[in-house]
Amino acid sequence: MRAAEGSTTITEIGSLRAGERTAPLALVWVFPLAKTPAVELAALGEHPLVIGREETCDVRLQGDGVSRRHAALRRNPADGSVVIDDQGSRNGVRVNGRRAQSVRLAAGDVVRLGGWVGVVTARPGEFAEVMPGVFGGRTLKEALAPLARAAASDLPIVLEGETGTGKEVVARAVHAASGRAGPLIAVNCAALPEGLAEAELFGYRRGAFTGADRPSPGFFRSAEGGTLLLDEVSDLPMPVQAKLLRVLEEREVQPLGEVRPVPIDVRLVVAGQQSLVRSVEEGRFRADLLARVEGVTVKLPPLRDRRQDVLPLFSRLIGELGTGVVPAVESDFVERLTLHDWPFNVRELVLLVRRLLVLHADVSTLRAEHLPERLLVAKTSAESGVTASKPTSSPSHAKPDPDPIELPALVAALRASGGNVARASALLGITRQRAYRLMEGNAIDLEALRQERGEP
Amino acid sequence: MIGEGNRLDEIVGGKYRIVRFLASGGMGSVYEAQQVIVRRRFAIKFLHPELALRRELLTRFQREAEAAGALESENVAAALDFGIAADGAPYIVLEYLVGENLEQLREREERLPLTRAVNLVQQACRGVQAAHAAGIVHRDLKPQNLFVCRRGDGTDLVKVLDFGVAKLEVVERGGAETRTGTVLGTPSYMSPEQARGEKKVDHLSDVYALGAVLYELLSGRKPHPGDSHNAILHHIATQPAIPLAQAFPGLPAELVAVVERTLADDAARRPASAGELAEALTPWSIAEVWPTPKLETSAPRHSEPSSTLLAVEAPAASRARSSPLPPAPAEPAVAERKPVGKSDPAPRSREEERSRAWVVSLGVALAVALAVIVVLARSEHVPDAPLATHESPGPREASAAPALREAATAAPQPETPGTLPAGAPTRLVDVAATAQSVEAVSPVKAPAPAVTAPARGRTAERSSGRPAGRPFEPGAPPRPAAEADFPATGPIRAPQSNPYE
Repeated sequence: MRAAEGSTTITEIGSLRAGERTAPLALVWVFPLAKTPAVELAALGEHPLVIGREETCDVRLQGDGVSRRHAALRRNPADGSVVIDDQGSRNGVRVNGRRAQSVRLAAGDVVRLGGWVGVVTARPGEFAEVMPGVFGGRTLKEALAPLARAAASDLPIVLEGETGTGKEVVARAVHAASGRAGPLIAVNCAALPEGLAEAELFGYRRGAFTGADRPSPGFFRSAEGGTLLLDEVSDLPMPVQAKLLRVLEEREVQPLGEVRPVPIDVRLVVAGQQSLVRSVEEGRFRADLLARVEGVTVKLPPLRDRRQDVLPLFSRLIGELGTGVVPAVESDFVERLTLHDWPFNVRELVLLVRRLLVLHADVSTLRAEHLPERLLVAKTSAESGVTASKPTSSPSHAKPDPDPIELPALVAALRASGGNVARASALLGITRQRAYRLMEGNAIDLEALRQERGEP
Repeated sequence: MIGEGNRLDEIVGGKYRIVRFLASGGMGSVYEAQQVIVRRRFAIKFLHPELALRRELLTRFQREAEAAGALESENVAAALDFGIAADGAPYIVLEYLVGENLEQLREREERLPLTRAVNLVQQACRGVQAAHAAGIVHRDLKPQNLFVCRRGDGTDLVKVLDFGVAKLEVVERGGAETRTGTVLGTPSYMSPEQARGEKKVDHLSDVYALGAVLYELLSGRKPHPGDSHNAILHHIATQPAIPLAQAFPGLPAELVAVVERTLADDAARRPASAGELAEALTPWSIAEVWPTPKLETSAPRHSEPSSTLLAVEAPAASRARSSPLPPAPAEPAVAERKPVGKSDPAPRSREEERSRAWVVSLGVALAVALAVIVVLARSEHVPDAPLATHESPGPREASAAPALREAATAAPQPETPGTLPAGAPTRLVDVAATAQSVEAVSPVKAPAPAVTAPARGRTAERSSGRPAGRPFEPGAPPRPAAEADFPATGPIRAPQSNPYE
């Protein structure tokens, strides 16, 4: 996929970039037993650490496919890197989906030994509920740490994160933690009709303009006493940005057609796929507005920077979205899932879960073959999840198709719903309009699908 | 390893004559033995003499034997004696069991009638409760460790086997648990806390396992899906069990609720003890007489050493409830152990491995061999023949085969002759009435098995407000039956008629 390629940093497998500080890496296990203690790679000396079933091994793993002495970890004295060696295991050592005899490890690498799947990371830690409804490991926990204290205040908050990283979910968590009695109103500024942004945000009187046949309080006043999330805020037209600045300074809005301004009490959370500083540099966002909204800024990490969270998130989601009969997962499935770069992040994972529940509802164990094809392509390189700056990883301007739903999923959903487009699209979490567009684009015969059902 | 047969005719402990080799495992061998005076059969498990040199292992072995011996429950297979053979090999004398384990029973029957399934698990609960009361947590309860014998009246008698094995293993491994991904037990019946590798694995994990066994007996499915050890393990650790009502619709809602509570991820939500679970199952538990399948007798002596020990029951075609299946081949005692080995494949040092295997096979021995002689069938079919071992030290062949063959032709005798039309299973219409009629029958004498558990009053169970008619599934009518609990001594009552022939 186009976007996936654009978001991958290509490096030599396992190599640490020049000048990069060696992070205290650890090999954390994600499958089958996430509670198995992580293997600290930082503490490695030249003496190899042996992993296998046998009693004499330093790290003992049981279960399927682990050899008596399976692999060994050692530090390469030449460059200080950590190397994993196959110890003549039956099922081999796989790093990033490829069998390897001897490979240097780096953060983000996915290691598979027999039935076990692990991730190399500099942020080992337990998967937990970081904020209400927000789940993740240490990477996410550290990223969201500033919010814990800021949530209860009325400081404006800036959330930066790729598409699907959960900005609205985090905004809701902030709102919940703030104790504000009013509602949370989420607005996607990029989706506001051109020319109507001001009216939609600040409200209008009946007859204020052509077509205003009813009055509207606007989003600000709707969020009175609560929180207003302005997503893609840098997509607001410049004149509206000027008015927004004024609203924030005066703490009152001036609805269109009204004479007097209306005082407001609203907590503002703004969000975007790229940094607002960069938007200012590009001239798309007012510097004075940035200064006004920048209380606390939080960057939501993309899913590929926290690979060890993918399986726990998947398990949570399939438990939540399933109907009680939740299939088990096999190690090859887990390996693919963990290796995928998730250009659309958690949203993509949610869609995958929905897809699997529709397409493979009767399967007791999910295997790699149940995954869409694009997840089956081996990861060609490791990428460092610990790099501080990784500008190439943000596909913010790629504007990828936000609904990576394949046709088979739609067809299956339509079958499952007896040709009911509304129910099928709800199953997949897409809009009805989008379902129709997909059907038109792919010449799906809805009538034929409906008749299929009537047949014995 | 002790070669098979090299102990034949040896007199052990001055009173047990080795009659037959049964099975061998990594740590020793099991033989059939006969007490020279009373001529009763036992199973004797020998520890490899070399292993006995490891003092701590020997001590543990002995302690475990003591613990198992001290458990006074008819639902626990008992260890009866312990000693050191002439060559220095420690041995344990076990009940000789005839019957089959729950796994074999289930595979044959596919899905058990509700009342029988509940009754079997309820009995297992009582055995487990007795162990818990003695401070022993099983940690590896599964259908293979629940052995089904017959009482004198033809009803099921469950024996819990393998007590203390998992616990011993853990002790064995000492503090080596750091940095390991080691999980003991059989995944399908493992509690979430066990599957997650948490330290706190206590009696509530056993309660969970009992719930998992009941789930499977009721629905024919395992509570957690998965095609491999790891897949199942991960599912248990991360997902709730498939709702029983979905796995098998149509079960009584209250029973479903009990099972699901037992399988709760949060141990605190489960029944607080195995005894409490047994209590909760009372409304659906009925001890009935089920057709006694033919006992397997044709097993080759050496290739399948334990097949006579674990006489496998196969349904006789004439009274098979479901489609008659070919009799499952009896599994040797060691083979029975294999699934566990698979689930716990991490080998330790050879020594360790041996000692472990030994403990394991001890478990098997306990499991398999425990001496209970379910003479039922045998006793019922020949009124004037030797019925109970202790009464009839008469000519019994070294091999049990002839006796078993005889038994094979026998059918259980419901002890309520007046209520059963001969020749057909009777549909029980009024449970209460039957219960009364059962009670009205004069005490039936059970064929005094070696372990004569004192008869325990079942009246509470019987009268505890079982919803009449409710628990029974269509097509699986419980038969009126004498419930267990008759004085366990005394002459065997001769059968009046055989309703199944």
